[in-house]
Amino acid sequence: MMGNGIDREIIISDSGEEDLGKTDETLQRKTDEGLQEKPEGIFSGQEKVKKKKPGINAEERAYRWMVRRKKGRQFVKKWLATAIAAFFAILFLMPIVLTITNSFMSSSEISSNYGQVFATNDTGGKTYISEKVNLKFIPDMVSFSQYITVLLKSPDYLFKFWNSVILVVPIVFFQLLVAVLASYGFTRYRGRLKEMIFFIYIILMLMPYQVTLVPNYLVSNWLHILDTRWAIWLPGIFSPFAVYLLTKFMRRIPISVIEAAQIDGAGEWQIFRRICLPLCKGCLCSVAILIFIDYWNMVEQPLILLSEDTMHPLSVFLSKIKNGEIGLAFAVATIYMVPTLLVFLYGEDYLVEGITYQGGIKG
Amino acid sequence: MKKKGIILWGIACMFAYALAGCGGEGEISPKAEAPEESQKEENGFVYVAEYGELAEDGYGVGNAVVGEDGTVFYTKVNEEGTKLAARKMDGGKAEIPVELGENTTIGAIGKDTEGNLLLGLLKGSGSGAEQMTENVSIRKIKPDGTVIEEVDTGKALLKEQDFYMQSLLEDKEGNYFICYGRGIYVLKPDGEPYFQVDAGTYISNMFSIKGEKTVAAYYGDRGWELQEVDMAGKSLKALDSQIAFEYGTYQSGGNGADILYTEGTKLYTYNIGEEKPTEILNWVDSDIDSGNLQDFAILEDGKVVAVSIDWSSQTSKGEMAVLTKKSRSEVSEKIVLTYGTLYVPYFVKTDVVAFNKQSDKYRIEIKEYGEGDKDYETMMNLWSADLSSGEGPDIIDMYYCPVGLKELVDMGVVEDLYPYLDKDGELNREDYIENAMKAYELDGKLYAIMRCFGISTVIGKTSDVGSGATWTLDDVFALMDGKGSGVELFEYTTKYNALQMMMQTNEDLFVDEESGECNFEDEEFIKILEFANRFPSEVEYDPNGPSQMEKIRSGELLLLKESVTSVQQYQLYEYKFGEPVNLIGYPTTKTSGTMIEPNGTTAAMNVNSKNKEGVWEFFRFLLEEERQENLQSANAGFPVMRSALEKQFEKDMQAEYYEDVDGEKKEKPKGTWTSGSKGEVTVDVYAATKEQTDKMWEMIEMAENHHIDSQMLEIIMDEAQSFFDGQKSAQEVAALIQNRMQIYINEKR
Amino acid sequence: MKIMKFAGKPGKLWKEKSEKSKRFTKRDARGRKVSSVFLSPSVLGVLVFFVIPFFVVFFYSVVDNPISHQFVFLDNFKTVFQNAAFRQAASNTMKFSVIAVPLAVVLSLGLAMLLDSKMPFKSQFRTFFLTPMMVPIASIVLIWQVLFHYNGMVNDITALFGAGKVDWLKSEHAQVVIIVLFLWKNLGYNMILFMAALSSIPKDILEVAVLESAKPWQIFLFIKIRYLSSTLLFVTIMSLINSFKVFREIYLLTDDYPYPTVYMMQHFMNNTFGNLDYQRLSAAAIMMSIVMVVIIGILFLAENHFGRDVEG
Repeated sequence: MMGNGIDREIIISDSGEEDLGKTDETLQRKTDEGLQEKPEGIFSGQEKVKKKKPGINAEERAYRWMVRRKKGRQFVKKWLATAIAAFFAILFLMPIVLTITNSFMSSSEISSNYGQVFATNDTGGKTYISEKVNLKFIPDMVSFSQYITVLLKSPDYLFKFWNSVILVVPIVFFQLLVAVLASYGFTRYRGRLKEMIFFIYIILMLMPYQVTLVPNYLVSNWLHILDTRWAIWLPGIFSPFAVYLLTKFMRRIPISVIEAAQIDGAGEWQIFRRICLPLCKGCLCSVAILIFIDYWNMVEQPLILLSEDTMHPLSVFLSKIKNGEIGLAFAVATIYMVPTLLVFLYGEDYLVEGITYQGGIKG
Repeated sequence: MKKKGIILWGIACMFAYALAGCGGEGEISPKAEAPEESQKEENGFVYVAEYGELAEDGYGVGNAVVGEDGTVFYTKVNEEGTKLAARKMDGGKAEIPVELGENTTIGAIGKDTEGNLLLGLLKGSGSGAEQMTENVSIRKIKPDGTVIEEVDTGKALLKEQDFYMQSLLEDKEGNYFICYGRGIYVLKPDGEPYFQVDAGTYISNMFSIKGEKTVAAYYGDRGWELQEVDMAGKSLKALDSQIAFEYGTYQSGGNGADILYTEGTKLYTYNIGEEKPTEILNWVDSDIDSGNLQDFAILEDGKVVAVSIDWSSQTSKGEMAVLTKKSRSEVSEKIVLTYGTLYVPYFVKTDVVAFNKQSDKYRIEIKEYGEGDKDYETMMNLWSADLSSGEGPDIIDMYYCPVGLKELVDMGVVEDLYPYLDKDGELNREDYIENAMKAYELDGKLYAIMRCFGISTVIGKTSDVGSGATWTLDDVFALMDGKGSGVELFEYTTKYNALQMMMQTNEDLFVDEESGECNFEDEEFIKILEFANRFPSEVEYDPNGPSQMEKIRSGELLLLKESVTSVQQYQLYEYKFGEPVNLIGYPTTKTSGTMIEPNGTTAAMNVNSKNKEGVWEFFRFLLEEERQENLQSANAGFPVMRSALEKQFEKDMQAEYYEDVDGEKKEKPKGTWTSGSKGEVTVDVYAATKEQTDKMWEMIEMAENHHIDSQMLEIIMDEAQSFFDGQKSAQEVAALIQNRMQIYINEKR
Repeated sequence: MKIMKFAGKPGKLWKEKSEKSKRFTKRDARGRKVSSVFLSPSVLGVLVFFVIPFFVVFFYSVVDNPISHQFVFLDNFKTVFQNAAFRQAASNTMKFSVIAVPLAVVLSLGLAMLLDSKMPFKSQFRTFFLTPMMVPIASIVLIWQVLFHYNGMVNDITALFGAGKVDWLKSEHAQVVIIVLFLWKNLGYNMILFMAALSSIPKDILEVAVLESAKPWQIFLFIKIRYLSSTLLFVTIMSLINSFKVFREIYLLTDDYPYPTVYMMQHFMNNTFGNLDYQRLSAAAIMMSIVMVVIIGILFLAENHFGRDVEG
């Protein structure tokens, strides 16, 4: 570990290139241009530092010496770390890459590759079984036929895609709205009762859906919203998940900020609107992404609560792919992934930034 | 920020595309709700039906169309020949004088666009089976019989050997269209052949849309769909119609709409270019069996006229119904019972309609969970949610019940029917065949009523299977090993079929209900797996191969697995095998390898029904002597009432005679079977012998009931695959099945 | 409404304010009122859609039949508890959580530390690790099935090293598969949480430690873990939640009745739901929530114990 008086700061960078520095593993130096691979980079960086603090030459010399000594070991270490990360990255990426590349296969190619996995056995009908299951990354022939079917020929998929959108977007928006209010409530005052309610929220959040589904069905029936989108929307909007995450975040906002505003005579709404919300922007984004992903992939709720097939989202169709149409599965999955991907790329920075304050179940 | 901008654009485009593809939110949501609203409106109204028989006794009804004013025109046939008749809406009947030449029959009745009738006249030669059509002509007449014109096409249409005219019509331009089953002939107004289109498949119906377009319905990729006759292209082209369905019929919508159609049990109208059809009524509500509908039309005053022909009775019976829309309050209120089922079997439709017609206190409405092309899981969810909430149907269909009897009983939703039967003044438990009743009995309680049944069994030559009552797998192996390699045990049977049929008979051998233990590692089970593995994994039907009977006679095929529903069927097997046969049943170590199967309306009573008396009323209607003795056709199975079955067998043993052309007395066949792709094997079955009916009794009394647990079967099938694929040994597979099954059984306890 | 009432009646709760609210001094009453107003929509919704249903579940668990409503007290609990399948499910689920959740925590912390060090393409790696969150379940299942099929890719790879074929999903190995699946899905998000926490450790403390020539493991154990403790618990909870959510994949991957070692609590519940046996489902659910309350309670206490000195 290095120790000297040079200014440094830890960064979680966006670009990565900035971090090509050659100092030790845990602490990184940040220089104005970023350090280059060449050893001169270090010196140029040091010179800058030197200008700042001209009186510590001895220390500086010791530092340079240590840098040289450690350079070899660090080089190995760095690339080892990269290799490990790369290995994991490949494992993590494989399914998504497979999904995308396989979506460019023709349906006959797919069924010849995966026929065995999805062979139907109980019908006694024709089974197309290839001896081997081939996981292929690159299609024999790039074919857009799947996409043409999904996007142009059969409006059913688009319709279901639209169903997904119409089910998920209001949930994300209103759950955030309800949750941000509630979490302000939980943050603003913490009595024993509120703590208890918060605890109940956590418990409810942890309930597996099998438990809540039956009561959900009954309540929907009772409210006469069964078979309408409200049966999905309402429980979604009031789900405690976002409340939990947002509360965890808000409780980290230094109390002094709010106190100062109060002393300045700001009203509650103003404090909430002008101070709390801007601070939570990143967190709201990250929670939105999580909710979106969660509901974008829902299967059980629509199946039970919406009997009309025509209202089902695409995720329900995707989960039933087992029963055939595997040829289309990859293309549909890829299309279905696109919004998630976009939302994700858009909000990724927030995802990281937003949870910086998080941590601790009690906060 | 540039990156984000691009991404935002991406999101926007995606959603915009989704929007564009679906026509936007504003249009979708109201549409999704629209059917509900219209239904609510409909609830205030009901169609009240008046019925009338078309032909008097002794006549069969062949062809029927509904005219513009609601008059039904039909042909009635008896031994003397064919007559054209009309029945008006007020009940008045009239015969329309039609001069028919010698050997000439009316092949079809059609309509033109001006309210006249078209008769397709076929002149034949010869008699009996050798009858040949020699001349085809079309005669246009006024409804009173005055001939307007006659077009003789001579032999021009008789390109194929057995020409028959299915339907005909005339469009606005005066062109004639004749549908002959697989295609359509188009004739110019003067009778000259214009062109011919071949659909390549069976056309179920041809009709005209407002006289402008002629369309044909046949079974295509989406189910029954419509194709338009393209006059310019002289071919068929797709009609811009959203409608396609699995079960139903199309008709012309007359002047009111483009298309009228019946899907399932409901009548809809549809106009081309519209997104959704309009529901008009449910036939069952008006006690009309939509399976028998011949023609239907909506009149200008909103009345619906329907003609149905019941082909199942000896002489085909035609019935006309006039449905008038009345508000519910005007109609004397009957107590409504619901019959809940995943799909509606045809016999349920018939029974419900018959019950509704005769009951002045109750009417049954059918609730079909599978309505509207749902997938099985959705259906199942709806069904189970309905039942478990306590608001399920009064009558639970057992023929297509998605869960086994035991599961249903465990759910606590089915009522014990013995108390009702015992309380009943007329019906007695003893009057019914004991093991037939046992089929739906559990722990001494009767949970469902079965109207008639069949016996699932295996038939083989006595010389092959022996004359015993049952046989084991070892016997089967011995038989198979004794024969050459080219010999099939069963026809068209895959490994999975074989495994399934073995499990159906033998599943309970491996499960101990008492202790909750199962033993699928048993040697007998491994034998079953090995037995199944002897069958091919895939079979293909060869339409050009030898017929079943040829294979049996030549020794290539040893056994038949069948559901026996009549003594005639047994007689047929004796004929097919050409040797004494034995109904040995499926291989088992138990006392019986034959199974009782429901073959008609089979239903249970919901515990939560508010009208249990009404439900029982329906059940006793099914069980009553009158209904039991009059199963509509011989093939509907054995009635559960002992005396009814005895009477049936007595009738089966009585020979009936007729006099042929030469005045010779000949025995009338009880049934005629035709098989083979070209109908090359025709078997006439005559009166049965006492020996044969005794065999039937023997078989019935031996048969047991078996309730297969579909989940168990699924697990077995799932695992067996890796044995069939050669990945695992039978023992390994058995161990896996044992593991998974034990969880299942544990969970259920 | 209840909450509003409570807020209007100060007194009892007055003394029991938490540490932070002490700072509000005179404005307490106002704060309570305000907080109740902000909370009310959510609480109302949660009451209707989650709490009332929960009581319905409770009601079902003590009656014999959803239709006749005969009160049977603890009979359902007894039958469920004595049910062999339930016990197996409970023990499997427990095993899964006990193995998978700590693994998820440790591995993601490891990954976070790895990415926290200097290396090229860091943010790309971070994105890659997050991709599993995006893949629709159906594709995951599809690909997992292909990977772990008897004739699948994993067996092909192991065959290169001379290992025999393994039927991954239908043998004792199935547990490994689902744990891998769970880790694969959740490591990325956990890692992000840890990275964020790592970056918020005050630098001066680390510098002091380095100056005092503390060994890396000492820094890790005494400084980083200390500071990460609240995140650790947060990640644990999130992993716990996700360990319930991963069931959907397991279910689609295997079957209603899978190989016994992967037969989970959720299988039991799903199947009893399918069989319309609400009494047993409810009883099982209540038992599960009790266990849940205990676990969360312990985590709360643990955080109170470890997290306090850091947060101050």
